[in-house]
Amino acid sequence: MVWQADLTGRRALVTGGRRGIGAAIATRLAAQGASVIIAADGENAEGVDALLDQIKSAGGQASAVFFDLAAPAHRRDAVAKAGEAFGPIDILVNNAAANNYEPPSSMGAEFRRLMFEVNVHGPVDLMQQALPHMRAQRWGRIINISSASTAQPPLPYPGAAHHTHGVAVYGASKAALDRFTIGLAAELNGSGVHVNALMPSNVCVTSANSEAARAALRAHPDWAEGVEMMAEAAFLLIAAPLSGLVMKSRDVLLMMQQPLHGLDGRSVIGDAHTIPDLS
Amino acid sequence: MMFSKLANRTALVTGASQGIGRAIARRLAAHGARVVVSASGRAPDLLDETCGLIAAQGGTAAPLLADLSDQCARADIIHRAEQLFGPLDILVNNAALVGAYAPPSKIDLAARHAAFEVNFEAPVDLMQQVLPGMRERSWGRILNISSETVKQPPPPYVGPPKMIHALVAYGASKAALNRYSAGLAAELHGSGVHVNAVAPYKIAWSENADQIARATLAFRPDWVEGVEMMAEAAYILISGNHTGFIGTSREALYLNQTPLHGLDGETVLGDASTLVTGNGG
Repeated sequence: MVWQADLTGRRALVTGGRRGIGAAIATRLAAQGASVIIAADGENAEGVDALLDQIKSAGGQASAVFFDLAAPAHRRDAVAKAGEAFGPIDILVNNAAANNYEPPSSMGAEFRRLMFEVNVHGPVDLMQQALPHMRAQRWGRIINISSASTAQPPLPYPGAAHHTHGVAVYGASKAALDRFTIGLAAELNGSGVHVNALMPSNVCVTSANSEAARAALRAHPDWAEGVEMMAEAAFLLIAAPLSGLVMKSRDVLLMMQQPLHGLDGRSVIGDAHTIPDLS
Repeated sequence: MMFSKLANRTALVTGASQGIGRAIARRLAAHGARVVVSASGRAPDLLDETCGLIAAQGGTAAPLLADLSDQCARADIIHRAEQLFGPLDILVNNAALVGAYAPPSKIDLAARHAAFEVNFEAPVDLMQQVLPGMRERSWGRILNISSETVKQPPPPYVGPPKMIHALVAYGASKAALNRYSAGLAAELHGSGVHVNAVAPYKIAWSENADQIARATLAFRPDWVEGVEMMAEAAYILISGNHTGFIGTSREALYLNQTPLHGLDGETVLGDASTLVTGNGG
C-alpha cells in the first residue's frame, strides 16, 4: 500500500464546494496540504468568499471558479479554468448535484434533463477534461459523490412514502454516475488514476438538508453523520491506492481502520461509528 | 390460440422491428393482445414484417413509426398509439441505442446525450404519458427492457477489455432506467399499475446481435439465449402480478416456475435453464 497522506503540491477541484459536503471536503483537503479550487455556480455563489477566507486563515490555499455545471457550453473549459489558480488539477471531487424531489410519475422532462446534466453528464465531462493531465503524470484521484438513494429502500420506508419517491429519479441519476465511476476505474486500471464513488451513510447533516432528509433523521437519528465523516472518507480514498469502489463513508473508515478527524485533519473526534448530537 | 389471457388488452412495444421487441410483440399477440409495434422510420418494411408475422399467427397488430430520440416527435406517441386499438394497457419500452462504442474516458457528450435520450428520457416520457389512463382504469403493465451491462463484469474479462469499456455509458443509462423502474413501481404500489424491468442473462440471440451471439456461443454457450426467453419473461411479468421485479429473463421463468414456450405461446421449448443449440434460438 502506497499512501499519500500529505497532499502538499496537489491541486483539488471540488464542485458544489460552497457549502455542505463539498465545503467540508475542500476544507479537509486543504488541511492535508492540497491547494483547493471551490467550484460554484456564479449565479449562486453565497458563502464562497467566507469559505475561502476560512481555509486561508487556517493556513490553506484556496481559490474559486465559477461556471454553470448544467450548461454544456459553460462547463466546456471548467477544468482548465480551475487550473489557472494553482496549476493543473490532480484531484477532482464531483460533489455538486440537483434534485427537485418530484416523484417518478411526474418529474417533468425539463427538470430531468437538468438533473442528468448536473448529476451525470457534467461530472463525466469534468472527468474527461481532467484525465489527460492525470494520466500524463500517472497520478490522479477522482471522487464522485453518490447517494444511498441509488437503491430502492426496503419496506417499510423510514418516513413518509413521498420522501422515498422524491429521491427515486435522483437515485437513477446517481446510479448512472456510479456505473460510470466503476467503468472508468476499470478502464484506467494501472494508469495511476483512481476513481471511486462515495456516499453518506445515510444522511450527512448539513445546512442544505431537504425536508425528506430531516424527516428521515427524525425517524432514524442513527442515520446521521457529520460532514467530517464524508470529508474523512474522501481524504482516505484520495490518500490510499484504491480504485473502483462505491462506498458509504463509514465503511471507508472501518475498512481502513482510521479514526474520524475534524476538518483540521489533526483533532480526533471519533471513529466510523460516531453519531453527531442533533439536539 | 391456447391461452387468451391478454384478450381485450392493448399493448405498445417499442423497437419492435426485430429482435427482442419483435419477439415480445409476437408473444403478447399470441395471447390475444392487440399490439401496436413501433420503430423509428429507418426500416418500415421490417415493422410491416413484424405485423405480417403476427397476422400469420392469427393476431392483431399495427405499425407506428415514431422517432424516440426526438423529444417533440415522441410527445404524442401514446396518443397516436391509442388511436389504433384504444387505450393502452401494456407498455414495453424495448427500443435502445448504444450511442457510440467508446470507453468512459472518451465517449463524447453527444453520444452520451443520444444514449440517455433513447434509453432513459424516452421510456420515462412514454411511461408518464401512459400512466394517467392506466391509473384511471386501475390496470396497467409497464415493462422496461434492461441490460446486463448495468453491472461492471468482474476481472478477468471474457473477450477484449475494450468491449467491456465500450458499453459503460450504455450500461449507465440502463442503470438509471432500472432505478427509475423500481422507484415508479414503489410509487404506484396498490394502483393496479405494475412496473418491471427485465434483461437477458447476457445476450439474446437476435438479428442485430447475431455476430456477437455466434462468437459467444463458441466459448460461453450459457451466455446466449433465444429471444423466446425474453418473450416468455415479458409474458410472465405482464400477465402475472409481479411488480418491482428487476432481473433477468431466466430469473423471471424460475420465479414463476413455468416452462419456456415458443412465440406461439403453446409449444414448450424448455425451461429457465434451457440453452440454445448451434443454429439459433
